[in-house]
Amino acid sequence: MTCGPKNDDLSCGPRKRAVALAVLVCVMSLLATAQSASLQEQEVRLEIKTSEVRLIKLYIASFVSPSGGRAASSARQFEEVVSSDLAFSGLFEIRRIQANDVNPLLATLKGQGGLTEQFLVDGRTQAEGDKLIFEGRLYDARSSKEVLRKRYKFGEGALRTAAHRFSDEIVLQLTGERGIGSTSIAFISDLPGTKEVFVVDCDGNGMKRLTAEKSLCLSPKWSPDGQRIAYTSYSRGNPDLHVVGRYGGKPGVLSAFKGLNSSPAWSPDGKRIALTLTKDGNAEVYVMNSDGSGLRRLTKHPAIDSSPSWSPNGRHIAFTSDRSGSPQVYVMESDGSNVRRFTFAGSYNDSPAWSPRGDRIAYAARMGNNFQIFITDVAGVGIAQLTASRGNNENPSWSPDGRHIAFSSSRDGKRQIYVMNADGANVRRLTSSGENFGASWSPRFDWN
Amino acid sequence: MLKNRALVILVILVAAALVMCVGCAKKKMAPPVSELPSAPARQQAEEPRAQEEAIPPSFEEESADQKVAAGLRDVFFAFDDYSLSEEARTILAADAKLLGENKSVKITIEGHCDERGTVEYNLALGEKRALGAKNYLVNYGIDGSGISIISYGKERPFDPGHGEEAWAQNRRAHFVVQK
Repeated sequence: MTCGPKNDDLSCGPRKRAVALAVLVCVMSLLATAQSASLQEQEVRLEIKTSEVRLIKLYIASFVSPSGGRAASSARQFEEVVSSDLAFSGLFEIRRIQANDVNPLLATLKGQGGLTEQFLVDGRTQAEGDKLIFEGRLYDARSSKEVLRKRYKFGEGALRTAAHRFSDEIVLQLTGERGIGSTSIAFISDLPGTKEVFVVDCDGNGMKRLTAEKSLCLSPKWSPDGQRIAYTSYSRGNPDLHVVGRYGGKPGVLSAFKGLNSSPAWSPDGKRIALTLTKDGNAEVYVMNSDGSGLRRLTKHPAIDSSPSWSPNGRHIAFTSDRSGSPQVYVMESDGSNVRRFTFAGSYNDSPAWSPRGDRIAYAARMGNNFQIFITDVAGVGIAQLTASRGNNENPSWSPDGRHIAFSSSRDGKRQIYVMNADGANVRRLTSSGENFGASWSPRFDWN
Repeated sequence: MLKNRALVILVILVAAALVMCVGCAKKKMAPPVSELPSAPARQQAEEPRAQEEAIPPSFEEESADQKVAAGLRDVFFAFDDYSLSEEARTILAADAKLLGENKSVKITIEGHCDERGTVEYNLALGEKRALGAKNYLVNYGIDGSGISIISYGKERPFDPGHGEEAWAQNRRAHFVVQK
C-alpha cells in the first residue's frame, strides 16, 4: 500500500499519528461541547459527572461476512445494534473504523494512548442453513490480546436479540456489570383505542402489546425477575391491580378492593408489592405479598399518600404525600415507621423513583405550569434539574444500571416515552404514534 | 224507632244502588263488545281497555332516570384541590333535590383531574373529588348506597386541550346515571 496525500488509511506511517491525534482532539472537543450545552440547559446545583471514570476508548471494526450475500447485510445490521448499544451506555468513547482486518488495526493501536484503556471489537457472520452464526471478539488494544470471544447461532428474527446480548457481554467484560442493551421498557399506549400495556426494546424497536383489557390500564411495573408486569386495570369497573406475564397471556388479579388499587411497586427481592389503596376511606400506602396475600397498611394519615418506591436494599420506601398541604416526596422505613419529608424546595414534588444504586431519588417537580424531572441525592442536599422543556415531564424510571432514566414527556404535543442519561444529556424519543406514558424500565433478564 | 228503620232501609237501598251501579259500570264495558257489529270495531273498543291494563311497571322509573340524567349538573374544582366552592355547593344542593325526588335512580360520581400532576396522584385526587361530592349529597339526606364513586384521574379529560380553559373543564366530579 502506498502512502501519499490521498491515502489516509490508518495503516500509513506518519499520517497515522496525525489522524489519530486529530480524531482524539475531535472526540474530546465534541464531548466538551456536549457537556457545556447540557450545563447551560440545567439549573444545576449539584454537579453530575457524565461518568464516574475516564471513558474507555472502544474501536469498532466493520462486521463482515467472509462469504458475502445475506450474511453480509446481517453483519452490518449486527454492527449497528452493537454500536448503538455501546454508544448509548455512556461508558465509552466510540470510534467506528471502516476496516475489517483486525491484525493491522491492532498493530496500529498497540502502544498508543499511554495509560488509557483501549479496546477493539470485531465481528463476523456466516450463514448456516436458514440460521446465522455470529462470532465476535474483543481485544485489549494495548496488548493485542483477545479478552472475549462469543459465538451465537440464531434465526434472522432474533438478530437484534443476539446483538444486544453481545454488547451486554462486552460491557460485562469491561466494567464488571452487564450492559442494558437487552432490557425493555413497559408503558401504556392508547394506540389500540383503549389504554393498554405495551413493551418495547430500550432502543425503541420491537413494540408489542401485552394486554387486551379494553378499558383503561395504568402504571405498569416490572417484577424484579423480569417475568411479570403489575398494572392497574379498570376492566371490571373498578381500578384493580392486575398482573400479566412478560409475553402477554391471561392476566391475574392481585388486588381488587373497592376504590383505588394503584401505583404498584415491587420490593427489590420480588417478594412484596407496595401499592396505594383507598379502601379505608383515603389514599394510603399498603404492602402485600406478591401473590396478593398478607396485606399490611403502612401510612396512617388523612392526606393523600401514594406512589411508593423502594430503596434497592429494600429497607426504605419513598412515596408522595400531601400532608404538608401540597404533594411532596417523603421517605419511611419499609414497615411504615419513621416518616420524614424528603423534598422541601418547590410547591409540588411527586412520583419518586429510587435509583438502583441507592444514592439518588428522581422525581417530577412542578416549575411554573410544567413538570420537570429532578434528582436529589439521598442525603437530600444536592438537587439537579434534568429536563427543561415545554410540556410535562413525568414518571421517571431508572435503568437497572442506574445510568439512564426513562420518562414521559408532552414536549412535542401528546405524551411520549423518552430516555436520557442520568445527567439529563442524550435525550432520545422512543415512541411517536398515539399517546404513550407510564414507563417502567425492566431489570436485566436472565440469560438461560 | 220508625225513623231508625227508615234510615237503615235508606242506607241499604243506597248501598244496593251503588252496587248495582258498579255492576252497571262493569256491564257498561261489556255492551260495546256486543253492540258493535263488526270485528275490527270490537277490537277498537277493546284496545283502550287493554292499553290501560298493560302499562309496563318500569315505565315510571325510566323517565326518572332520564329526568335525573338531564338535570344533574357536574361540579368543578380548583387546581390540586378537592374542597367544594360556594358554587359547587349550590349545584350539589340542586342535584340533591333532584335525586331526593327520584329515589329509585342510582348514580356514579366520577372524579377527574386536569393533565398537570402525575398519573397516580391524580387518581387519588379524583377520588377525593368524587367522595367530596358524594358526602355532600349524603349529608343532604340522599341514600349513599345508591351512589358509587370512581376516579379516572387525568386519563379521561373532557377537553383534550392545554391551557387553563381546558384544564378548568377537566377538574370535576361528573355525574352518571347507572342503567
